[in-house]
Amino acid sequence: MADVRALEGGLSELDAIAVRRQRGLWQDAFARLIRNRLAMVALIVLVGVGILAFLGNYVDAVQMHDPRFQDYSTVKASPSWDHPFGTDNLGRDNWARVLQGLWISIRVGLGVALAILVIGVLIGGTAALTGRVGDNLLMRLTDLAYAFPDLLFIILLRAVLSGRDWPIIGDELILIIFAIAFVSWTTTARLVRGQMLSLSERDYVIAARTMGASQARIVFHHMLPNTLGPVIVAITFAIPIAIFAEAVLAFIGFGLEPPTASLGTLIADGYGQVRETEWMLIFPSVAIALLMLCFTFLGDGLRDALDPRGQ
Amino acid sequence: MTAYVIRRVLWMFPLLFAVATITFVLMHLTPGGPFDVQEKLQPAQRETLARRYNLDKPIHEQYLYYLGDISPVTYEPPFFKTPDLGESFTQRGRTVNNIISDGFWVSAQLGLMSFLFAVIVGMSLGIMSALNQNRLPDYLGVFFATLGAAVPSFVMATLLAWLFSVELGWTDRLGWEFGNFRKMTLPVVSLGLLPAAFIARITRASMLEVMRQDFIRTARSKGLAEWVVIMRHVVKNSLIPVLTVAGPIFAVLVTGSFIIERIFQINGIGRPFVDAVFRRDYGVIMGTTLFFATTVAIANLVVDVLYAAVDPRIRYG
Repeated sequence: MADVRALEGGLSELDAIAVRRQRGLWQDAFARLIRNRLAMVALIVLVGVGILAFLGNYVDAVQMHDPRFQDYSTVKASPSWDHPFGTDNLGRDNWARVLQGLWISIRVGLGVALAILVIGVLIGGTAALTGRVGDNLLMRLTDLAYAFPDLLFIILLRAVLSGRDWPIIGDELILIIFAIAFVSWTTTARLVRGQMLSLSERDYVIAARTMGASQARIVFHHMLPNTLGPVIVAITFAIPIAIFAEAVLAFIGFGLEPPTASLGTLIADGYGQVRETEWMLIFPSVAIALLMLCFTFLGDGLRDALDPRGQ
Repeated sequence: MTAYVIRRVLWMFPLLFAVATITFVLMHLTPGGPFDVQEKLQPAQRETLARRYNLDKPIHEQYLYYLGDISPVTYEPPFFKTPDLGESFTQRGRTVNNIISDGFWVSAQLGLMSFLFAVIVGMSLGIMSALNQNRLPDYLGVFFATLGAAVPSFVMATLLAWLFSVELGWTDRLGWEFGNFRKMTLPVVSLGLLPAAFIARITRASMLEVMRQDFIRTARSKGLAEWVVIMRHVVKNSLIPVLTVAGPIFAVLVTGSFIIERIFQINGIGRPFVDAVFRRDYGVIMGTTLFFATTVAIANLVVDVLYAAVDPRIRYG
């Protein structure tokens, strides 16, 4: 009996190898990601929180109260069925406000990720393809970015990019996203540049060139898709940093205008009232910690999945 | 080596010049004049203020005045001077040099204590994790490192203050006094936690790497006691990668101090910077930014030189 089982085990292993051979890089990476329990839990929590935050801003049944409405009959109420996260010192519902803050944090995180993906690929790619001059310029720029403490630069940029009534991008949230993205694109650009430079020497790129593929085809078909793995990892790690930066701006009073509740604002308000209404501090703190933790775990999982050599 | 150090030092000048220029440009791009947010001023007062801060001059002249003020060299003997980082636009008679000299020691104490905390806690955790790889102490260490890296410092600070000051009453909530543990513990721990997590991660990875090397096996096989192998060979050799994060950690401590000093109401230099941003006091913002950028640049320089000096394998080309 034992032998048969061992044989079956061996056969299924062979099957697994045979199946694995047919999969491409991305399917392989996806399979590895699914096997990573921590990353999957993080992903599920993130999707759950994302849906909750979305519904909590646009569906009354989930939001329950208007986050701006000051109900003076329930000031500083502790958590209850009607107010799951309690109310603040002005009688505003903490649940609705935390959900509003979460939705802002998620939009900032994803917005910054998208912005640095575009800026990083454009600048990094251009530097790698244009040879020495562009390359040197990029390296000096990144040197400069290293000398400037991130948060300091973000705060300065935020001062520049506030109260502008530009069309479309004049929205305060978009201006905050820009302020953060302008500081955080350097890592991605460096990464893209390094990848592109090393890829251009690979056999398959040389083969493509030998076969007469155009430069555009080589760049868009062969090189860019292969830089994606590390870039996705870098960008996933940039999301919690962006969420943190926005929260800090809000915390020091430099975020969105007051009635809007960002998690940073909520934590600052909650800290001011901590002697009486500790729930005003605890719920937004847990919310932002959870969000950042999940993105970090997801980033770890993606890194392990996309770069098996790193383990 | 000498050539490398000289080149690194010389590189600081264009770097700081660029930082100064960027800060100047950014401040002049900021919408609204510096005195717009203040109480209503008469046109005449506004003009006097503008003249006092050179704001009535064309922008390129303002830039030259600014560069002349912040430059540490002059054309008169003895050719060196203290850089004049400018004046506060909102507090009459207060200069950035005042602000820095008033707050520097407190900030330096806070930063130094946090750095020590980060090194001691981070390295102990990293070593503990590496020596017990894939066992309970390792999991605890990695858990702490992940938590410390993912939870923002201001969240940690406010939660710690709530727990230990408000609920338990073990520590003070506000202020700073060197040597007074009730006042020092919370700011140091909340500022040092992120770097500690950083160091723990790097120490663990680097220890595991070194422990696999041949010379460790040689050390064991020639009969050295285990703790000698660990302390003299493993730990010493795994320190090098840890040193590389010292530069970024310095930047983390500087930017972290903005928030921590604000939360615990510590009169360092991070707090005036944030207050200045809030009040749009461009004089203070420009001056302190320049000061922070200079300190970070110097710290990076020291780390790079140390790194090259400690590890003979590194070629400083």
